[in-house]
Amino acid sequence: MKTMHEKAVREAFVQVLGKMAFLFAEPVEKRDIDPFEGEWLLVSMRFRGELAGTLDLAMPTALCREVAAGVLGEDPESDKAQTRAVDAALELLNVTCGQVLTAIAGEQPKFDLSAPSAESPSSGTLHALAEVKETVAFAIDDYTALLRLTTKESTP
Amino acid sequence: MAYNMLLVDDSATVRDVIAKTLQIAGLPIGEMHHASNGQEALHILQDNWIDLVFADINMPVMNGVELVERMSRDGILGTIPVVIVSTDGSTTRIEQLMSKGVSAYIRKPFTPELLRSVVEGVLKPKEDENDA
Repeated sequence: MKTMHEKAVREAFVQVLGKMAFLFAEPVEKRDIDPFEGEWLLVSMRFRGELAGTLDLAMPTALCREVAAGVLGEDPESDKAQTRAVDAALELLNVTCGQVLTAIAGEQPKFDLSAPSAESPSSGTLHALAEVKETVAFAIDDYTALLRLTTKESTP
Repeated sequence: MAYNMLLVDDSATVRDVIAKTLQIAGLPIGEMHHASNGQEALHILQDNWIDLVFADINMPVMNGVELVERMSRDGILGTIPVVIVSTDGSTTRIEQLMSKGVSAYIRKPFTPELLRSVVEGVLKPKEDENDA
């Protein structure tokens, strides 16, 4: 059963990606995901306040360059898109987190957000992330992204 | 008259986007300064003429709230308009910042049109003073 949090996550990410990077994300069933080939990036952040938890986003690094290119109005193969790819992914997560929290908790509550962090995940980490029920998968151009919201009331 | 801007955000991508948006919007931009946290911003403010500051809230070393508070305690820095550009959508936070003298608040993601209209609104009273 789709939870309200999952709906907030789906809608926020689609909206933010579209507005920031002019990319269209479509939620897909996780069983339709191709194997995790190539290099990926995992960006994560924490939040606390009325609700506490984490938000994790995994994307192929090639998609991170597309995001940077879209945000900056550059070609994905440009030096600028290459050098800003990780930063763009971090900011995408940051903005998505803000929108998700507003959708869930409303506009009154204040939240503390941690600085987002990035790492290169192993395929084992990606598979584990994909298998968690809270994780939502998106198709973006020829790529897949995984987004997971974990809150205190859910099991990480 | 061209305005000198200070962009304060720990994300270089965000600073680039704001800079590019300001240029595309056709606003009269003079110098564009960049800082990755509030402390760097204060150094730049001490050494340069700045007409408008764009600042994020969540930054390491010194966040946007602390920056605004430090500026407001200085007789000269306190007169420089600050526009907060943040992911934070809490009305409580926005009200707190406005009570500390922030001129405007833009929530990310923002459109170029919104950025332009906010900047024009913030700078216009300054233009009126100069014309008087």
